[in-house]
Amino acid sequence: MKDKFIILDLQPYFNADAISSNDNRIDGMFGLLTSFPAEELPESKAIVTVNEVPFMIPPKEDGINNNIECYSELIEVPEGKYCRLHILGGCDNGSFEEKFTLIYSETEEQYKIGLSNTTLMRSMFKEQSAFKFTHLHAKDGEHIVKSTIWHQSQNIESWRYLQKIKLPDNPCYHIFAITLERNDR
Amino acid sequence: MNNKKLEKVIPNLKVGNGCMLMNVSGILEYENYLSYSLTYSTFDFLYDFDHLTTFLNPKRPEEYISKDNELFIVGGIDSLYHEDYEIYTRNHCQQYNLFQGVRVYEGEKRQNLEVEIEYIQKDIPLIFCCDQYYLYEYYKKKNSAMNLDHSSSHSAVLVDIDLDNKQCTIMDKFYDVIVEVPLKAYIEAKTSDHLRRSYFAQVIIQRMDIPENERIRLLLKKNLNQTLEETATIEGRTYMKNLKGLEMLIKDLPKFFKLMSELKGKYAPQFTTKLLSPMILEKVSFKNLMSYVSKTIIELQKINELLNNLSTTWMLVDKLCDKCFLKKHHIVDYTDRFATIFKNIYEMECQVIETLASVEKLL
Repeated sequence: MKDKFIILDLQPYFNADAISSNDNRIDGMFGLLTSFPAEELPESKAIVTVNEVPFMIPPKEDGINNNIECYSELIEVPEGKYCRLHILGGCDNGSFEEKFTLIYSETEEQYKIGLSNTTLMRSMFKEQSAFKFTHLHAKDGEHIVKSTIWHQSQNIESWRYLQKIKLPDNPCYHIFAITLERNDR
Repeated sequence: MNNKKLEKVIPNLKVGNGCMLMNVSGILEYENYLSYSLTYSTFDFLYDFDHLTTFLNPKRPEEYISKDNELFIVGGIDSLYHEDYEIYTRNHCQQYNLFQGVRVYEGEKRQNLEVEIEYIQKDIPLIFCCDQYYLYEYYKKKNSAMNLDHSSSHSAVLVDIDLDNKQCTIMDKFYDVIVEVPLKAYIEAKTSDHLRRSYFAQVIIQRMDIPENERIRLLLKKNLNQTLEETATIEGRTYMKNLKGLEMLIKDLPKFFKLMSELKGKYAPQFTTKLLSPMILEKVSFKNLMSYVSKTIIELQKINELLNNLSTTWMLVDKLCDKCFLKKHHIVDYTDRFATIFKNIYEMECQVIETLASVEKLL
């Protein structure tokens, strides 16, 4: 399994905190006024298999960033041939399909990748559910609505050498983890 | 209460660029005349740098900010652009003379229910001025996104009063709720100290004696004719419209944010959102209305998804402003991010305008 998947360490790129503990519900802000409950996620930095794909759980501790609120970040990846891009993420204030630019050794390709609003019960872009939450933490401490972090997959050009991934620019589009899948061959 | 009529009111169908027009649409929908909202819901974006950035006798920026939540502005922002846009919408609507809002009461805030009862007994819903703060508890059960905040001029629709049970029924299209609330809460909402005035308005409809599909075609043609015009003149002031307006806005963004920052300081994001809010709501409104109309005009169905994406992208402008303030960033530093959003909007609007032009020829 380890050979088949490359789990990216996104810590250097995290620029937002969307997870809060039960004891401190005002830590973090996903969207404008809410955050995901830490107690309903696996341990920080744990490698967890979701829909047969391993992902690294972002840090949940108070005051630490744990997701990328997309702003055209350029993510370095171990150069190699990959057939699929897997994302754990979700959107606030809507569902969005955004352009990712995959930078290969000799060319670039763009892919439109959709992520649904985390408060939807059903995904808009055929994502699978990764983590379901019974509630969100709100600024006033109140539990409000159920929510989901989605798992989205995108087939990519498996015969090219991928070097970098350029994320879209959308303040409502959040990424918690990325894993690349290698060719079986 | 006429439950059957109220049951037909479609959830999430918001039409209008603010709470007043959304609730006028609510009444039109209640009376099965929603197509009349084609007289005021347009695709139009109006732009002129000087008019957009003119504030009439403005107070200090912090005086507009909600004391309960710094993210929000309470009431108007003394914007020339808002005044002009309201006139533009009203003028457009009056050309048709299909309905009118008549103030049946305007004056001091009153605890009693005399005015309401007179009209409600005749099954005439009334738009009333309120501070939704006092309705929050009841709205929140139906709309989890509702924020606890005061308003100086919100409007909602009073549909029914049940004196025996001391309850009333309120339809509020802006917050997308139909709720029963205790009369006590209703009275607090209509007499709040935050309100500048009190009024009740009735929507009087001139019924067109033609089938609904014919009515839609007629009104849509006139609506699209206006959309396709490149300029608009309001009170002698000229605005560029839609694609031309967007082109100019994108070019002017650096100086726009610089000026907003100079005028409104750290609250520039809130004022930017508020300034553009009629436009943003208009795009959402038009999307909703076209989705409704496309059941009759099937040629419009091909742009439903595009209009949906477009209105979501317009909403991003609002969300980016909010995030800019909450992260304590400077709005000038977000110029490129806003430019990216507006360029996406421009690309989508090119496609929409092209389709609307082709539909207009078919009508």
